[in-house]
Amino acid sequence: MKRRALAGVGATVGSLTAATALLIGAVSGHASPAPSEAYGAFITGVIDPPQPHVQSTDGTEQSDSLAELPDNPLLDLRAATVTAGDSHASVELANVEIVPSGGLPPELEEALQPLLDPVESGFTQLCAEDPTQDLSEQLPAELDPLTEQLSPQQMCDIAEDGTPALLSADLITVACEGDSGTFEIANLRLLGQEIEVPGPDANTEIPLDPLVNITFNKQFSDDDGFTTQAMAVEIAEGEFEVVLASATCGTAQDEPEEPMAPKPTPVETQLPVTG
Amino acid sequence: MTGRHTSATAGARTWPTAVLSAAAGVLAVLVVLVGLMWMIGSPDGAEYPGRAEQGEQTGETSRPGQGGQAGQAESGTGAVELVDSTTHTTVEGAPVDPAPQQGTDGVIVHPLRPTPVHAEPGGEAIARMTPTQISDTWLPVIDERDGWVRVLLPSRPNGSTGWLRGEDLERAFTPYTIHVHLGSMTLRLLSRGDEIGSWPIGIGKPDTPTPAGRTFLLGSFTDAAQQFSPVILPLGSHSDTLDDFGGGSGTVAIHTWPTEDVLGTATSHGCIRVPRDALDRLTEVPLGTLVLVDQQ
Repeated sequence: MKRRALAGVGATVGSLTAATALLIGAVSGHASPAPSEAYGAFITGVIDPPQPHVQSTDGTEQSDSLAELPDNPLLDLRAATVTAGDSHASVELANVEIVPSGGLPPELEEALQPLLDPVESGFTQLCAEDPTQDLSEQLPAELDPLTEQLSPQQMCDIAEDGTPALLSADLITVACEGDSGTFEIANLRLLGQEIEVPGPDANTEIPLDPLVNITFNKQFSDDDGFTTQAMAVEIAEGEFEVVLASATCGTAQDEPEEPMAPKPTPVETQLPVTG
Repeated sequence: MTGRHTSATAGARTWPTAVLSAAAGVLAVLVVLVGLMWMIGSPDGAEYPGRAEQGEQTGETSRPGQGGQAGQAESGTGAVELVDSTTHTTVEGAPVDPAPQQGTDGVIVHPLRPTPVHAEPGGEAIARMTPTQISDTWLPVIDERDGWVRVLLPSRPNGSTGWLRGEDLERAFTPYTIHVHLGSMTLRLLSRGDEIGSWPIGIGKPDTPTPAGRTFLLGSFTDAAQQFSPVILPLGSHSDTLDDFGGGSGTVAIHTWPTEDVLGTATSHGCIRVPRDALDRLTEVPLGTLVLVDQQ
Protein backbone atom coordinates (compact mmCIF):
# COMPACT_ATOMS: atom_id res chain seq x y z
CA MET A 1 0.00 0.00 0.00
CA LYS A 2 2.70 2.44 0.94
CA ARG A 3 5.96 3.10 -0.75
CA ARG A 4 9.39 3.55 0.62
CA ALA A 5 10.79 6.82 1.75
CA LEU A 6 13.35 8.52 -0.41
CA ALA A 7 15.20 11.76 0.13
CA GLY A 8 18.60 10.13 0.53
CA VAL A 9 20.13 12.65 -1.83
CA GLY A 10 18.39 15.50 -0.07
CA ALA A 11 19.58 14.31 3.29
CA THR A 12 23.14 13.94 2.06
CA VAL A 13 23.16 17.42 0.57
CA GLY A 14 21.62 18.73 3.78
CA SER A 15 24.30 17.05 5.87
CA LEU A 16 27.09 18.42 3.72
CA THR A 17 25.58 21.88 3.88
CA ALA A 18 25.32 21.62 7.64
CA ALA A 19 28.90 20.40 7.96
CA THR A 20 30.19 23.23 5.76
CA ALA A 21 28.17 25.76 7.69
CA LEU A 22 29.52 24.45 10.97
CA LEU A 23 33.07 24.76 9.67
CA ILE A 24 32.50 28.31 8.50
CA GLY A 25 30.79 29.16 11.74
CA ALA A 26 33.74 27.88 13.69
CA VAL A 27 36.12 30.36 12.18
CA SER A 28 34.02 33.37 11.37
CA GLY A 29 31.92 34.74 14.12
CA HIS A 30 30.30 34.86 17.49
CA ALA A 31 26.66 35.22 16.57
CA SER A 32 24.55 32.59 18.22
CA PRO A 33 21.62 31.92 15.90
CA ALA A 34 18.49 30.27 17.20
CA PRO A 35 18.33 26.55 16.43
CA SER A 36 15.20 25.19 14.80
CA GLU A 37 13.70 21.87 13.81
CA ALA A 38 10.90 20.55 11.59
CA TYR A 39 9.45 17.16 10.81
CA GLY A 40 6.57 15.78 8.80
CA ALA A 41 5.27 12.86 10.78
CA PHE A 42 5.98 10.84 13.88
CA ILE A 43 4.23 7.66 14.96
CA THR A 44 5.51 5.77 17.97
CA GLY A 45 7.36 2.68 16.79
CA VAL A 46 6.21 3.12 13.20
CA ILE A 47 7.70 6.36 11.86
CA ASP A 48 10.12 6.67 14.69
CA PRO A 49 12.34 8.73 14.44
CA PRO A 50 10.19 11.19 12.54
CA GLN A 51 10.37 11.64 8.78
CA PRO A 52 11.25 13.81 6.99
CA HIS A 53 13.22 15.65 9.62
CA VAL A 54 15.67 18.57 9.54
CA GLN A 55 17.49 20.54 12.21
CA SER A 56 19.34 23.81 11.96
CA THR A 57 21.73 24.26 14.85
CA ASP A 58 23.70 27.21 13.46
CA GLY A 59 21.02 29.23 11.70
CA THR A 60 21.73 28.01 8.18
CA GLU A 61 18.59 26.89 6.39
CA GLN A 62 18.10 23.15 6.06
CA SER A 63 15.40 21.51 3.94
CA ASP A 64 14.34 18.01 3.10
CA SER A 65 11.45 16.41 1.31
CA LEU A 66 9.83 13.04 1.06
CA ALA A 67 7.49 11.69 -1.60
CA GLU A 68 6.29 8.72 0.41
CA LEU A 69 6.43 7.45 3.95
CA PRO A 70 7.69 4.05 5.00
CA ASP A 71 5.07 1.34 4.63
CA ASN A 72 2.65 1.57 7.56
CA PRO A 73 -1.10 1.14 8.15
CA LEU A 74 -1.68 4.47 9.88
CA LEU A 75 -0.49 7.28 7.67
CA ASP A 76 -0.06 8.01 4.01
CA LEU A 77 0.88 11.15 2.12
CA ARG A 78 2.07 12.21 -1.31
CA ALA A 79 4.60 14.89 -0.45
CA ALA A 80 6.24 16.29 2.65
CA THR A 81 8.59 19.27 2.74
CA VAL A 82 10.31 20.45 5.90
CA THR A 83 12.51 23.50 6.37
CA ALA A 84 14.40 24.81 9.39
CA GLY A 85 16.55 27.94 9.66
CA ASP A 86 17.47 30.76 12.00
CA SER A 87 14.48 31.02 14.33
CA HIS A 88 12.04 29.77 11.71
CA ALA A 89 10.71 26.39 10.63
CA SER A 90 7.91 25.13 8.43
CA VAL A 91 6.24 21.92 7.30
CA GLU A 92 3.99 21.25 4.32
CA LEU A 93 2.21 17.92 3.86
CA ALA A 94 0.09 17.12 0.81
CA ASN A 95 -2.66 14.52 0.38
CA VAL A 96 -2.53 13.20 3.91
CA GLU A 97 -4.59 10.19 4.95
CA ILE A 98 -4.80 8.93 8.54
CA VAL A 99 -5.81 5.27 8.80
CA PRO A 100 -6.22 5.27 5.02
CA SER A 101 -8.12 1.96 4.78
CA GLY A 102 -8.22 -1.51 6.13
CA GLY A 103 -8.61 -0.52 9.73
CA LEU A 104 -6.19 -0.18 12.57
CA PRO A 105 -3.19 -2.40 13.26
CA PRO A 106 -4.12 -5.20 15.71
CA GLU A 107 -2.25 -3.82 18.71
CA LEU A 108 -3.88 -0.43 18.32
CA GLU A 109 -7.28 -1.91 17.72
CA GLU A 110 -6.90 -3.89 20.93
CA ALA A 111 -5.89 -0.82 22.86
CA LEU A 112 -8.84 1.13 21.54
CA GLN A 113 -11.37 -1.69 21.94
CA PRO A 114 -13.27 -0.01 24.79
CA LEU A 115 -13.79 3.02 22.62
CA LEU A 116 -14.47 1.33 19.32
CA ASP A 117 -16.90 -1.34 20.48
CA PRO A 118 -19.78 0.96 21.44
CA VAL A 119 -19.22 3.07 18.34
CA GLU A 120 -19.33 0.04 16.11
CA SER A 121 -22.42 -1.46 17.72
CA GLY A 122 -24.10 1.93 17.78
CA PHE A 123 -23.47 2.41 14.10
CA THR A 124 -24.64 -1.04 13.22
CA GLN A 125 -27.87 -0.53 15.10
CA LEU A 126 -28.43 2.96 13.73
CA CYS A 127 -27.85 2.09 10.14
CA ALA A 128 -30.04 -1.01 10.42
CA GLU A 129 -32.93 0.82 12.02
CA ASP A 130 -33.00 4.42 10.82
CA PRO A 131 -30.04 6.02 9.00
CA THR A 132 -31.57 9.47 9.38
CA GLN A 133 -31.25 9.52 13.15
CA ASP A 134 -28.86 11.79 14.97
CA LEU A 135 -25.47 10.19 15.23
CA SER A 136 -24.41 12.05 18.34
CA GLU A 137 -26.25 9.73 20.71
CA GLN A 138 -24.29 6.78 19.38
CA LEU A 139 -20.88 8.39 19.70
CA PRO A 140 -18.83 9.88 22.52
CA ALA A 141 -20.00 13.41 23.21
CA GLU A 142 -16.43 14.74 22.91
CA LEU A 143 -16.53 13.93 19.20
CA ASP A 144 -19.44 16.27 18.63
CA PRO A 145 -17.27 19.03 17.08
CA LEU A 146 -16.47 16.55 14.37
CA THR A 147 -19.45 14.23 14.15
CA GLU A 148 -22.19 16.83 14.31
CA GLN A 149 -21.09 17.88 10.87
CA LEU A 150 -21.56 14.42 9.43
CA SER A 151 -24.57 13.21 7.55
CA PRO A 152 -25.90 10.01 9.16
CA GLN A 153 -27.10 8.74 5.82
CA GLN A 154 -23.68 9.18 4.25
CA MET A 155 -22.10 7.46 7.21
CA CYS A 156 -24.31 4.45 6.76
CA ASP A 157 -23.62 4.46 3.02
CA ILE A 158 -19.93 4.47 3.73
CA ALA A 159 -20.32 1.56 6.08
CA GLU A 160 -21.77 -0.44 3.23
CA ASP A 161 -19.57 0.77 0.39
CA GLY A 162 -16.11 0.59 1.80
CA THR A 163 -13.68 2.18 4.12
CA PRO A 164 -12.53 5.69 3.35
CA ALA A 165 -9.70 7.16 5.36
CA LEU A 166 -10.58 7.96 8.93
CA LEU A 167 -9.19 11.47 8.45
CA SER A 168 -7.74 13.04 5.33
CA ALA A 169 -6.68 16.48 4.16
CA ASP A 170 -5.45 17.93 0.90
CA LEU A 171 -2.89 20.14 2.56
CA ILE A 172 -1.51 20.56 6.07
CA THR A 173 0.94 23.35 6.84
CA VAL A 174 2.47 24.68 10.02
CA ALA A 175 5.18 27.25 10.52
CA CYS A 176 6.83 29.04 13.39
CA GLU A 177 8.69 32.33 13.50
CA GLY A 178 10.28 32.97 16.84
CA ASP A 179 7.54 32.33 19.38
CA SER A 180 4.53 32.56 17.08
CA GLY A 181 3.03 29.91 14.86
CA THR A 182 0.65 29.51 11.92
CA PHE A 183 -1.49 26.51 11.09
CA GLU A 184 -3.64 25.51 8.13
CA ILE A 185 -5.50 22.38 7.11
CA ALA A 186 -7.21 22.46 3.72
CA ASN A 187 -10.20 20.21 3.00
CA LEU A 188 -10.26 18.10 6.14
CA ARG A 189 -12.45 15.04 5.76
CA LEU A 190 -13.72 12.63 8.38
CA LEU A 191 -14.67 9.29 6.90
CA GLY A 192 -14.80 10.97 3.52
CA GLN A 193 -17.05 13.84 4.55
CA GLU A 194 -15.58 17.32 4.56
CA ILE A 195 -15.73 18.98 7.95
CA GLU A 196 -14.67 22.28 9.46
CA VAL A 197 -11.20 22.29 10.92
CA PRO A 198 -11.47 22.44 14.69
CA GLY A 199 -10.16 25.66 16.07
CA PRO A 200 -8.76 27.90 14.78
CA ASP A 201 -7.54 28.67 18.27
CA ALA A 202 -4.33 27.00 19.38
CA ASN A 203 -4.59 23.79 21.37
CA THR A 204 -8.09 22.79 20.37
CA GLU A 205 -8.43 19.47 22.13
CA ILE A 206 -10.81 16.60 21.54
CA PRO A 207 -10.24 14.44 24.60
CA LEU A 208 -11.62 10.95 24.51
CA ASP A 209 -10.51 10.33 28.03
CA PRO A 210 -8.80 8.17 29.02
CA LEU A 211 -7.83 6.54 25.77
CA VAL A 212 -7.31 9.16 23.14
CA ASN A 213 -6.55 12.84 23.14
CA ILE A 214 -6.50 14.70 19.85
CA THR A 215 -5.13 18.23 19.66
CA PHE A 216 -5.35 20.42 16.59
CA ASN A 217 -2.93 23.34 16.24
CA LYS A 218 -1.00 22.21 19.29
CA GLN A 219 1.39 24.90 20.51
CA PHE A 220 3.75 24.75 23.45
CA SER A 221 7.07 26.04 24.73
CA ASP A 222 9.76 23.99 26.43
CA ASP A 223 13.54 23.85 26.69
CA ASP A 224 13.80 23.33 22.94
CA GLY A 225 11.85 26.49 22.18
CA PHE A 226 8.40 27.17 20.73
CA THR A 227 6.69 24.32 18.89
CA THR A 228 3.57 24.24 16.77
CA GLN A 229 2.05 20.99 15.50
CA ALA A 230 -0.85 20.59 13.08
CA MET A 231 -2.27 17.58 14.84
CA ALA A 232 -1.13 15.53 17.78
CA VAL A 233 -2.85 12.34 18.89
CA GLU A 234 -2.03 10.71 22.19
CA ILE A 235 -3.31 7.21 22.78
CA ALA A 236 -3.17 5.29 26.07
CA GLU A 237 -1.97 8.32 27.98
CA GLY A 238 0.91 9.01 25.66
CA GLU A 239 2.16 5.45 25.19
CA PHE A 240 1.30 5.75 21.55
CA GLU A 241 1.67 9.07 19.82
CA VAL A 242 0.95 10.41 16.37
CA VAL A 243 2.19 13.86 15.38
CA LEU A 244 1.56 15.45 12.02
CA ALA A 245 3.62 18.46 10.89
CA SER A 246 5.76 19.78 13.73
CA ALA A 247 7.84 22.98 13.61
CA THR A 248 10.07 24.11 16.50
CA CYS A 249 11.76 27.49 16.73
CA GLY A 250 14.52 27.58 19.35
CA THR A 251 15.49 30.68 21.20
CA ALA A 252 18.85 32.26 20.54
CA GLN A 253 21.40 30.89 22.92
CA ASP A 254 22.31 33.36 25.58
CA GLU A 255 26.01 33.30 24.92
CA PRO A 256 27.44 36.76 25.20
CA GLU A 257 30.13 37.67 22.71
CA GLU A 258 33.61 37.57 24.08
CA PRO A 259 34.74 40.94 25.40
CA MET A 260 37.32 42.71 23.28
CA ALA A 261 40.85 41.78 24.36
CA PRO A 262 42.85 44.55 26.00
CA LYS A 263 45.60 46.48 24.27
CA PRO A 264 48.83 45.32 25.87
CA THR A 265 50.98 47.58 27.98
CA PRO A 266 54.67 46.79 27.48
CA VAL A 267 56.44 45.67 30.63
CA GLU A 268 60.05 46.53 31.43
CA THR A 269 62.05 43.33 31.41
CA GLN A 270 64.92 41.56 29.74
CA LEU A 271 64.38 38.60 27.47
CA PRO A 272 67.06 37.91 24.90
CA VAL A 273 65.37 37.09 21.61
CA THR A 274 66.89 35.83 18.39
CA GLY A 275 67.48 39.35 17.08
CA MET B 1 76.88 30.41 25.37
CA THR B 2 77.54 34.05 24.85
CA GLY B 3 77.40 35.90 28.14
CA ARG B 4 78.51 39.07 29.77
CA HIS B 5 81.99 40.27 28.93
CA THR B 6 83.69 41.12 32.18
CA SER B 7 86.39 43.66 31.53
CA ALA B 8 89.37 43.37 33.83
CA THR B 9 91.70 46.00 32.48
CA ALA B 10 94.83 45.01 34.30
CA GLY B 11 97.29 46.89 32.20
CA ALA B 12 98.16 49.66 34.71
CA ARG B 13 97.89 47.54 37.80
CA THR B 14 100.16 45.11 39.55
CA TRP B 15 99.41 41.44 39.07
CA PRO B 16 97.88 40.74 42.57
CA THR B 17 95.66 43.83 42.27
CA ALA B 18 94.43 42.71 38.87
CA VAL B 19 93.59 39.25 40.21
CA LEU B 20 91.75 40.66 43.20
CA SER B 21 89.90 43.11 40.98
CA ALA B 22 88.83 40.35 38.59
CA ALA B 23 87.77 38.12 41.50
CA ALA B 24 85.69 40.97 42.94
CA GLY B 25 84.08 41.47 39.55
CA VAL B 26 83.18 37.78 39.24
CA LEU B 27 81.81 37.83 42.79
CA ALA B 28 79.70 40.87 41.98
CA VAL B 29 78.28 39.17 38.93
CA LEU B 30 77.43 36.07 40.98
CA VAL B 31 75.70 38.17 43.63
CA VAL B 32 73.65 39.94 40.98
CA LEU B 33 72.77 36.61 39.36
CA VAL B 34 71.66 34.99 42.59
CA GLY B 35 69.69 38.08 43.54
CA LEU B 36 67.90 38.21 40.22
CA MET B 37 67.11 34.49 40.26
CA TRP B 38 65.74 34.83 43.77
CA MET B 39 63.52 37.73 42.76
CA ILE B 40 62.25 35.97 39.65
CA GLY B 41 61.86 32.69 41.47
CA SER B 42 62.69 30.76 38.34
CA PRO B 43 64.84 27.68 38.82
CA ASP B 44 66.16 27.81 35.30
CA GLY B 45 67.17 31.45 35.48
CA ALA B 46 64.35 32.35 33.16
CA GLU B 47 65.10 36.04 32.97
CA TYR B 48 68.78 35.61 32.35
CA PRO B 49 70.42 38.94 33.05
CA GLY B 50 73.65 38.46 31.13
CA ARG B 51 72.20 39.51 27.85
CA ALA B 52 73.67 40.97 24.73
CA GLU B 53 74.24 44.69 24.64
CA GLN B 54 72.80 44.94 21.14
CA GLY B 55 70.69 41.80 21.11
CA GLU B 56 72.40 40.52 18.01
CA GLN B 57 75.21 38.18 18.91
CA THR B 58 76.51 34.97 17.66
CA GLY B 59 74.58 32.22 19.36
CA GLU B 60 75.58 28.65 19.79
CA THR B 61 74.21 26.43 17.13
CA SER B 62 72.96 23.03 18.17
CA ARG B 63 70.65 20.36 16.87
CA PRO B 64 66.92 20.84 17.22
CA GLY B 65 65.42 19.10 20.20
CA GLN B 66 68.36 19.60 22.45
CA GLY B 67 68.27 21.58 25.64
CA GLY B 68 65.28 22.87 27.57
CA GLN B 69 63.32 20.94 30.14
CA ALA B 70 61.06 17.96 30.03
CA GLY B 71 57.35 18.26 30.64
CA GLN B 72 57.71 16.57 33.99
CA ALA B 73 60.64 16.66 36.36
CA GLU B 74 61.56 14.64 39.38
CA SER B 75 61.60 16.73 42.51
CA GLY B 76 63.96 16.09 45.36
CA THR B 77 61.33 13.98 47.09
CA GLY B 78 60.79 11.81 44.05
CA ALA B 79 57.37 13.31 43.28
CA VAL B 80 56.69 14.28 39.70
CA GLU B 81 56.29 18.03 39.26
CA LEU B 82 54.73 19.70 36.26
CA VAL B 83 56.97 22.11 34.44
CA ASP B 84 55.55 25.50 33.57
CA SER B 85 54.89 25.93 29.88
CA THR B 86 56.91 29.06 29.09
CA THR B 87 59.18 30.32 26.37
CA HIS B 88 62.07 28.84 28.38
CA THR B 89 60.83 25.27 28.67
CA THR B 90 60.17 22.20 26.60
CA VAL B 91 56.94 20.31 27.21
CA GLU B 92 57.14 16.70 26.17
CA GLY B 93 54.01 14.89 25.11
CA ALA B 94 52.23 18.05 23.96
CA PRO B 95 49.95 17.28 21.02
CA VAL B 96 51.07 18.81 17.73
CA ASP B 97 49.07 21.63 16.16
CA PRO B 98 46.82 19.83 13.66
CA ALA B 99 46.31 22.83 11.37
CA PRO B 100 49.41 25.07 11.49
CA GLN B 101 48.16 27.45 8.78
CA GLN B 102 44.51 27.74 9.78
CA GLY B 103 42.90 30.84 11.25
CA THR B 104 40.72 30.83 14.33
CA ASP B 105 37.62 32.72 15.38
CA GLY B 106 39.73 35.12 17.45
CA VAL B 107 38.95 33.74 20.90
CA ILE B 108 41.85 34.01 23.33
CA VAL B 109 42.10 32.90 26.95
CA HIS B 110 43.95 34.03 30.03
CA PRO B 111 44.54 31.61 32.94
CA LEU B 112 42.96 33.01 36.09
CA ARG B 113 45.16 30.77 38.22
CA PRO B 114 47.98 28.28 37.61
CA THR B 115 46.22 25.53 35.71
CA PRO B 116 47.33 22.14 34.37
CA VAL B 117 47.91 21.66 30.66
CA HIS B 118 46.52 18.33 29.45
CA ALA B 119 47.37 16.22 26.44
CA GLU B 120 43.65 15.75 25.84
CA PRO B 121 40.43 16.81 27.60
CA GLY B 122 40.43 15.08 30.97
CA GLY B 123 43.63 13.29 30.08
CA GLU B 124 47.16 13.36 31.41
CA ALA B 125 48.54 16.65 32.70
CA ILE B 126 51.77 17.42 30.87
CA ALA B 127 52.61 20.90 32.11
CA ARG B 128 51.30 23.92 34.02
CA MET B 129 50.17 27.28 32.66
CA THR B 130 50.63 30.35 34.81
CA PRO B 131 48.62 33.60 34.63
CA THR B 132 51.71 35.70 34.00
CA GLN B 133 54.83 35.05 32.01
CA ILE B 134 56.55 37.97 30.30
CA SER B 135 53.24 39.82 30.44
CA ASP B 136 49.77 38.52 31.29
CA THR B 137 49.46 35.14 29.61
CA TRP B 138 46.98 35.17 26.70
CA LEU B 139 46.74 32.11 24.45
CA PRO B 140 44.82 31.58 21.19
CA VAL B 141 42.04 28.99 21.25
CA ILE B 142 42.25 26.56 18.31
CA ASP B 143 39.54 24.13 19.42
CA GLU B 144 36.91 23.63 22.12
CA ARG B 145 35.24 20.51 23.45
CA ASP B 146 32.93 19.94 26.40
CA GLY B 147 34.21 22.73 28.59
CA TRP B 148 37.85 22.32 27.52
CA VAL B 149 39.80 24.61 25.22
CA ARG B 150 42.81 23.71 23.13
CA VAL B 151 45.46 26.41 22.96
CA LEU B 152 48.84 26.99 21.38
CA LEU B 153 51.64 26.73 23.93
CA PRO B 154 54.58 29.14 24.34
CA SER B 155 57.01 26.30 25.14
CA ARG B 156 59.17 24.19 22.88
CA PRO B 157 58.86 22.39 20.55
CA ASN B 158 57.25 24.61 17.94
CA GLY B 159 53.66 23.69 17.15
CA SER B 160 52.91 22.46 20.68
CA THR B 161 49.33 22.59 21.88
CA GLY B 162 47.51 21.62 25.06
CA TRP B 163 44.06 21.47 26.61
CA LEU B 164 43.00 23.69 29.51
CA ARG B 165 39.86 23.55 31.61
CA GLY B 166 37.52 26.33 30.54
CA GLU B 167 36.53 27.20 34.10
CA ASP B 168 40.10 28.27 34.87
CA LEU B 169 40.15 30.82 32.08
CA GLU B 170 39.09 34.34 31.22
CA ARG B 171 37.97 34.67 27.62
CA ALA B 172 38.32 37.57 25.21
CA PHE B 173 38.21 38.28 21.49
CA THR B 174 40.91 39.70 19.25
CA PRO B 175 39.87 40.84 15.79
CA TYR B 176 43.45 40.76 14.53
CA THR B 177 45.55 38.20 12.72
CA ILE B 178 49.21 38.72 11.79
CA HIS B 179 50.40 37.04 8.60
CA VAL B 180 54.13 36.66 8.07
CA HIS B 181 55.11 35.63 4.54
CA LEU B 182 58.69 34.39 4.49
CA GLY B 183 58.86 34.06 0.70
CA SER B 184 57.88 37.64 -0.08
CA MET B 185 59.32 38.92 3.23
CA THR B 186 56.19 40.86 4.05
CA LEU B 187 54.04 41.13 7.14
CA ARG B 188 50.32 41.81 6.86
CA LEU B 189 48.05 42.88 9.68
CA LEU B 190 44.40 41.91 9.31
CA SER B 191 41.43 43.02 11.36
CA ARG B 192 38.28 40.90 11.03
CA GLY B 193 39.76 39.49 7.83
CA ASP B 194 40.47 42.88 6.23
CA GLU B 195 44.04 43.94 5.65
CA ILE B 196 44.84 47.13 7.53
CA GLY B 197 48.59 47.19 6.97
CA SER B 198 51.39 45.54 4.99
CA TRP B 199 55.12 46.06 5.43
CA PRO B 200 58.46 44.66 4.19
CA ILE B 201 60.30 42.68 6.83
CA GLY B 202 63.64 41.09 7.55
CA ILE B 203 63.65 37.38 8.40
CA GLY B 204 66.03 34.66 9.54
CA LYS B 205 69.13 33.65 7.61
CA PRO B 206 69.06 30.30 5.79
CA ASP B 207 70.97 28.63 8.62
CA THR B 208 68.85 30.28 11.33
CA PRO B 209 65.47 30.51 9.61
CA THR B 210 62.32 32.03 11.02
CA PRO B 211 60.13 28.99 11.80
CA ALA B 212 56.92 28.62 9.83
CA GLY B 213 53.62 27.62 11.42
CA ARG B 214 50.96 28.96 13.73
CA THR B 215 52.06 30.91 16.78
CA PHE B 216 50.95 33.99 18.70
CA LEU B 217 51.94 37.25 20.36
CA LEU B 218 53.28 36.10 23.71
CA GLY B 219 54.36 39.39 25.24
CA SER B 220 55.21 43.03 24.86
CA PHE B 221 58.20 44.50 26.66
CA THR B 222 60.72 47.27 26.71
CA ASP B 223 64.36 46.78 27.59
CA ALA B 224 66.36 49.84 28.46
CA ALA B 225 69.60 47.93 27.95
CA GLN B 226 69.15 47.54 24.20
CA GLN B 227 68.65 50.04 21.46
CA PHE B 228 67.43 48.05 18.47
CA SER B 229 63.72 48.35 19.22
CA PRO B 230 61.61 50.54 21.53
CA VAL B 231 59.28 47.59 22.14
CA ILE B 232 59.91 43.89 21.55
CA LEU B 233 57.06 41.48 20.82
CA PRO B 234 58.14 37.90 21.61
CA LEU B 235 56.15 35.13 19.95
CA GLY B 236 55.27 31.63 21.10
CA SER B 237 57.77 30.11 18.67
CA HIS B 238 61.48 29.38 18.86
CA SER B 239 64.39 29.07 16.52
CA ASP B 240 64.65 25.50 15.28
CA THR B 241 68.43 25.81 14.96
CA LEU B 242 69.37 27.82 18.04
CA ASP B 243 68.51 26.14 21.31
CA ASP B 244 69.60 29.25 23.12
CA PHE B 245 70.70 32.64 22.00
CA GLY B 246 72.21 35.65 23.75
CA GLY B 247 71.36 34.11 27.09
CA GLY B 248 67.75 33.52 26.08
CA SER B 249 65.91 30.46 24.83
CA GLY B 250 65.92 31.20 21.14
CA THR B 251 62.56 32.95 21.35
CA VAL B 252 61.43 34.43 18.05
CA ALA B 253 60.18 38.01 18.26
CA ILE B 254 58.94 40.91 16.20
CA HIS B 255 60.90 44.13 16.62
CA THR B 256 62.48 47.01 14.75
CA TRP B 257 66.13 47.33 13.79
CA PRO B 258 68.43 50.38 13.88
CA THR B 259 68.86 50.38 10.10
CA GLU B 260 66.16 49.79 7.52
CA ASP B 261 68.49 48.07 5.06
CA VAL B 262 67.68 44.78 6.75
CA LEU B 263 64.11 44.96 5.48
CA GLY B 264 63.57 42.59 2.57
CA THR B 265 66.60 40.50 3.57
CA ALA B 266 67.12 37.17 5.29
CA THR B 267 69.79 38.25 7.75
CA SER B 268 68.43 37.74 11.28
CA HIS B 269 68.84 34.84 13.66
CA GLY B 270 65.13 34.08 13.31
CA CYS B 271 63.47 37.23 14.54
CA ILE B 272 61.14 39.24 12.36
CA ARG B 273 62.45 42.77 11.84
CA VAL B 274 59.81 45.32 10.94
CA PRO B 275 59.73 49.04 10.14
CA ARG B 276 58.86 51.45 12.94
CA ASP B 277 55.35 52.22 11.67
CA ALA B 278 54.59 48.49 11.61
CA LEU B 279 55.77 48.14 15.19
CA ASP B 280 53.59 51.09 16.21
CA ARG B 281 50.54 49.27 14.82
CA LEU B 282 51.54 45.87 16.15
CA THR B 283 51.98 47.14 19.71
CA GLU B 284 48.25 47.94 19.66
CA VAL B 285 47.40 44.31 18.93
CA PRO B 286 46.25 42.21 21.92
CA LEU B 287 48.51 39.51 23.28
CA GLY B 288 47.32 36.06 22.25
CA THR B 289 46.67 37.26 18.70
CA LEU B 290 47.40 34.59 16.12
CA VAL B 291 50.58 34.88 14.03
CA LEU B 292 50.54 32.74 10.90
CA VAL B 293 53.98 32.27 9.38
CA ASP B 294 54.09 30.69 5.92
CA GLN B 295 56.52 30.30 3.03
CA GLN B 296 54.54 32.42 0.58
